[in-house]
Amino acid sequence: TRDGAEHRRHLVKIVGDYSVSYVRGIQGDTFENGNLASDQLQASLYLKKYTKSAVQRRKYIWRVMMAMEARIKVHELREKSKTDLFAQLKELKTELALLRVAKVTGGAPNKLSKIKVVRTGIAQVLTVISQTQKAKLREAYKNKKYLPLDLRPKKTRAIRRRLTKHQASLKTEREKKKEKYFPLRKYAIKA
Amino acid sequence: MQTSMDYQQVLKYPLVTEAAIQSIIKENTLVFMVDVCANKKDIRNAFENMLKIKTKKINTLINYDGTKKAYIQLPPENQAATIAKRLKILA
Repeated sequence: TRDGAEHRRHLVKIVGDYSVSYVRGIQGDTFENGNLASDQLQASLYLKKYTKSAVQRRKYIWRVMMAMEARIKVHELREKSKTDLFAQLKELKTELALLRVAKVTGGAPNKLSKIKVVRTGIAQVLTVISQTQKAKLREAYKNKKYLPLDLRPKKTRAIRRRLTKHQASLKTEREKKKEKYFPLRKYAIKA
Repeated sequence: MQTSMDYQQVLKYPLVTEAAIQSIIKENTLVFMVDVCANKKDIRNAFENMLKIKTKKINTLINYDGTKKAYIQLPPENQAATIAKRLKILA
């Protein structure tokens, strides 16, 4: 409903700051176990406008709304656990599905422009997931002899087959002695 | 051997053409654009997991431009029209 939308925008300003903790808090039963009294009231007030009676449906809508309203900050993502990140990824993808339906059924311009935001959000979450996974793997293999191939330096095929710096600099005893006792001399000519 | 697709990537968006809306009303089917690599099993899984709706029958076809369309028929206890309203396909 129209005024429902207005209400939501107002709601967002208050709850937006607590969006991250709210999303977590709502995993359980209902939003009634929220943190702050004022936010609680607002939430229940708004959700009563929905005609769907199933609590699950409300939970779904609420969760998708929360995903909609908070702008993703990557440094916050990096602090989250793996399960949180995957949960957020799922919410973002459901939101993207809704936006795509809106695009097809002639949605409002603010929804259409949101598609890009959500897609970059999904990309950011996936990047954080893979980056932290790679970093942890590298730590796990830190002092081991054999690394998995994709953790070894990539460079180019030819470079990988070259002698290492150490191997190329090895000299025989004979050569070392020669260099020591018969170094290359420098001469200068008096003008 | 047959790897199934990640079910969030299968369904792309529903169709809202005149013909699609006719099929919602008359045949109790929803029409979705679907990923080309998806088979009917994938489509059924995706539909039932993501939207929690039972399906009766799925027909697919590949368009001339390489995209896949799926006609998803619902059993008579699910009314396609109400589901379309819920998904905001019909206004």
